Amino acid sequence: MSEPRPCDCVPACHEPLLFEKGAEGRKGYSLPGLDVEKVRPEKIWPANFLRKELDGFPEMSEVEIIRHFTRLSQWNYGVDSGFYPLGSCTMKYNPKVNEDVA
Amino acid sequence: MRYIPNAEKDWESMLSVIGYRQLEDLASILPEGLRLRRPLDLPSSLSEMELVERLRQLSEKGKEGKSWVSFLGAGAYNHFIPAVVDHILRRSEFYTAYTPYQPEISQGTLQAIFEFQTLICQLTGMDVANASVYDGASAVAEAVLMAQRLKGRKRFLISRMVHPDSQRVTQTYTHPLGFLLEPIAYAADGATDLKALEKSMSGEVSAVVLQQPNFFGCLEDVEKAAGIAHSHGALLIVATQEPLSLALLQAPGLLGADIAVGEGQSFGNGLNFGGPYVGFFAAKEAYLRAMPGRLVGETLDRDGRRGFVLAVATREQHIRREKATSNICTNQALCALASLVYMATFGKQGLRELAEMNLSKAEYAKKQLGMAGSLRFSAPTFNEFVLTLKGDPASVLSGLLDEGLIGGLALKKFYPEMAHEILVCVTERNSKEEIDRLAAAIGKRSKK
Repeated sequence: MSEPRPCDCVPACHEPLLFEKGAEGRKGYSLPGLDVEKVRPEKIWPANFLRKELDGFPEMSEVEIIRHFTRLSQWNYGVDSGFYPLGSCTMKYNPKVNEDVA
Repeated sequence: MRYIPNAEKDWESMLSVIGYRQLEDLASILPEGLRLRRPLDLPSSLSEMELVERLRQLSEKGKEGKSWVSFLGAGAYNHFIPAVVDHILRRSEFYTAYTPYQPEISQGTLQAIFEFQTLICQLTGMDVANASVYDGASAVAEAVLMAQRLKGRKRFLISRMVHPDSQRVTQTYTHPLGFLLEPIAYAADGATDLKALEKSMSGEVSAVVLQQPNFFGCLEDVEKAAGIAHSHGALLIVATQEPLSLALLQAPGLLGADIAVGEGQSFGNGLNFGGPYVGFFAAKEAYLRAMPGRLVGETLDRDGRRGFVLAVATREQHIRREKATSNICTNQALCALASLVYMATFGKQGLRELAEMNLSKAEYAKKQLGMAGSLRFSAPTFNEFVLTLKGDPASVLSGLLDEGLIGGLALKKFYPEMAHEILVCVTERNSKEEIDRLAAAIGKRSKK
């Protein structure tokens, strides 16, 4: 009998960077309405203290964020994935109840 | 036994391979007199169900609970964390992974760190950021060490309104090396006294250290401070304990700062009794080689596909000790991941909206509390400010506790001259009604 072939089920390692995903106006958050008078920084801060925009920050929906990071997690190997004979100080299995009660 | 997965039969088969019959035989090489011949005096282990119940009972002794309303900031900020953050952190491929020394099995962590570094650069206006350091305080200390490596001088001018814990940690790091950290006082408006800074400057100074917003919540004139530092050949280090402010404040790197560091707890990490937190560390590209910690870089694999690796790690484990720029053994990958997911979730618009919410509520609180006590400083602020009380802060604050209000931090502990001052923080989690309650409660106790 020939050797069993390893399966091809490990996802291929291609996931775009955060900055290559999303689109203008997409939101992954929700905030409550403001219950006090709105104060704009330009009214009370000196002009040279002000930032115009958060240049380079992503605009993503929640599901895009979840899929992005779930995908990244699939490229990692940890104690829960298998034996890890490195890092004796950290690489031991901890029962899951520890995570719940921490 | 849940930490040890093997059954007795597994033990037996392993022992037989090495020629032993029972587990105790492994200890046979120990001198007889040193061997313990009885079981350890420990209570018997609890089942999972019993453990959860025991911890639930213990947790009820704590004061945590919905009924508490907190206006405490002072370096640790009570922000709402979207559910997404915890769900990603609980992917066990992330939280049970080892440090990413083997890129073949660590692409997830490495790409996440690369994305974290990129957002920290955008936030601070810097060219390079590292994978993170322990916390905001160690980030300040590391920045001071880095400035000394670059400038070769041991005199530093450090604002008294850099977080007192960061100052203490910096002292601890640099005292044995003979560094001189000279405090710069605050001006009447609560910002660092830049005239005093100018007078204290000399060609002997390696760097000036400011915090933005400072410990009193006041905004600093980073641009002016950079001019003063640079005109004497010194670097400007800007620390940020509340990075949410940077959604609205000009990036320190675009105002002339050379090194920008800070505490990332505010972004997606709970208060967690004070830790673990995550420090961020960024600098201008010219200083890359002097940076501490590790950096993740982008590269191509054999087939020309994009991948990520630890690109710069000048740590004492990797290179000669005296050439190392860092002795810190790790970065805070999981806390940095929390910050990254948080920054991505709020994103370009949300962080600004959230920051404006903090600013607006804090301004409302300044108005209300300014009538109950009085505002100590006039410099503009973000979500924190100093209030002067008529009474003794310790008794006022403990009285507030009886009403379920954590009113803020008495400043006397860190600034002896501030016998009547408290530091108050207001975030998106504080409602108008809560602010009104605090103002009424302080007003009631401030009457003479």
